[in-house]
Amino acid sequence: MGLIQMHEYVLVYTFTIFALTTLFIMWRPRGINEAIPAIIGAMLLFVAGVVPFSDILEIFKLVSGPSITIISTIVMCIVLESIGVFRWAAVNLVNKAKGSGMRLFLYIMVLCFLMTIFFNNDGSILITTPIILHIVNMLQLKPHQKYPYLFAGVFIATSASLPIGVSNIANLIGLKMVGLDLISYTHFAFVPSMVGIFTLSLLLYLLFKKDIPKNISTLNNTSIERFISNSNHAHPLSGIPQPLEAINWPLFKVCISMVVIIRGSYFILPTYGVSIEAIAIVGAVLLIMIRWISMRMGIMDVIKKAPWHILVFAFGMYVTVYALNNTGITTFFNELFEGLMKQNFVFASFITGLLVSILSNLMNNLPSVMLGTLMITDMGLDLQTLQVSYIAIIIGSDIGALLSPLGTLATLLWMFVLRKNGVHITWSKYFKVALLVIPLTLFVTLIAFNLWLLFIL
Amino acid sequence: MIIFSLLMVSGLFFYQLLTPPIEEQALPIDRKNKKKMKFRFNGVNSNA
Repeated sequence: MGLIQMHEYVLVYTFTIFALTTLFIMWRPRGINEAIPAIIGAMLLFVAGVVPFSDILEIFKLVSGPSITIISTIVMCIVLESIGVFRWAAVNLVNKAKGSGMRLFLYIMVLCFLMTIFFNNDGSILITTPIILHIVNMLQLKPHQKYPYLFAGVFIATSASLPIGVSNIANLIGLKMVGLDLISYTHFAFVPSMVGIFTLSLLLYLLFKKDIPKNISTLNNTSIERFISNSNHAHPLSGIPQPLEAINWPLFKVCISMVVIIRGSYFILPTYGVSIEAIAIVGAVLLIMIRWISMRMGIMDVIKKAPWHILVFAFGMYVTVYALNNTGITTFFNELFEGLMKQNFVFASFITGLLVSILSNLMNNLPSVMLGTLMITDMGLDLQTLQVSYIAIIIGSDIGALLSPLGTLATLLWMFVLRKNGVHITWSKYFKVALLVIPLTLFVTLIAFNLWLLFIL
Repeated sequence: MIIFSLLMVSGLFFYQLLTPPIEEQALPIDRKNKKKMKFRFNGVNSNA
């Protein structure tokens, strides 16, 4: 009886710590870093003995690689931003749209997609949201005309972390646990996720067709300069607003080429035994060195702006989820779904995809993916079903999680950047858009995934 | 290799999206320098 009471006490304690940790991460009172509640929660659970020391070491090993990869990617993003790569993007996109609002809508979606493909989803949101705000302000669009561009930006940037797996820390952490590498992940996920992203783009277009202005103004050099000199939208990564000086184009070209080659190397070098994090670190160091050789810029700005907290955040979050797993919550789900999931891939993918979508919208996608991965690895599934279930979890986490702003850190970051720039998108407005596009996109992506499995397996 | 090639092609699109045409790349943004260059150019012309 004593033991049971003790067990119940630990259960309540773990659930409370987990709920409070998640609440503080999403709420972030006084703008505190999300790593602080994550690590405090982890420490409280460790002190109480819910997670033993040996597991702590294992968790650290598991999250350190993906965290280093993501930090290095954001370092590359910071270096590129510092040499002005993204500063001209707003002007370029408007020029390339040649007066067509529809073409601009398409270009914004392509930019957001590629930013996530070549960097990561959070970096993409941080860079592209101010660019989109620049554009809609520069074109003096009415509030309802701004929505198509802003929503397309956040939805495409977040869902674009699905095709190649390396664009989101949530995708990376569980890869090794289910015996996947980046190449096999992409083999499974690329085609269905592109079908999903195309569906999402189409639905966004159909939803906002009336709001997208047919014609937008074109820019001449004087209006560009006037806008830039009056602009008070400081880029979040740039610190203080910088004047827009002429860009060192040769350096720009070298750096962009480097980023693309490094991204490509993720799919070539691991076959020769090179780890992803090693490639990412080398890429970041190379970019810093090229910048130093060309512009004599040191590394202080990178050290100051790099999101070092990601490692602490991911580690803290995983310890908290691991504790939750130790309470037996995944056993509950396992008993509920194991039989069905073992029957066929359709059940396995739909159950995990939908479950993680629901969990993500309640408690954010990072803990949900971690919990989902622990759940499927404990089920005793065969390797293929395990991997199929994992990809479905990622589909739920990258697409299903977009149903509410709570679903991903990227959407929370997006709301924050918009608010900081005086654009207020209410939760009800968000839900109205998300409810019309996300469930259908999720459904189509899961169907496409199952059809793709028939083709490749 | 297919993924690598796809990424390289996407990289080209990415580069295209971020860069203005070559004539705009040469556009001097700093008005002060622009005036200075014009002044110097006029001076050279008048000397010639």
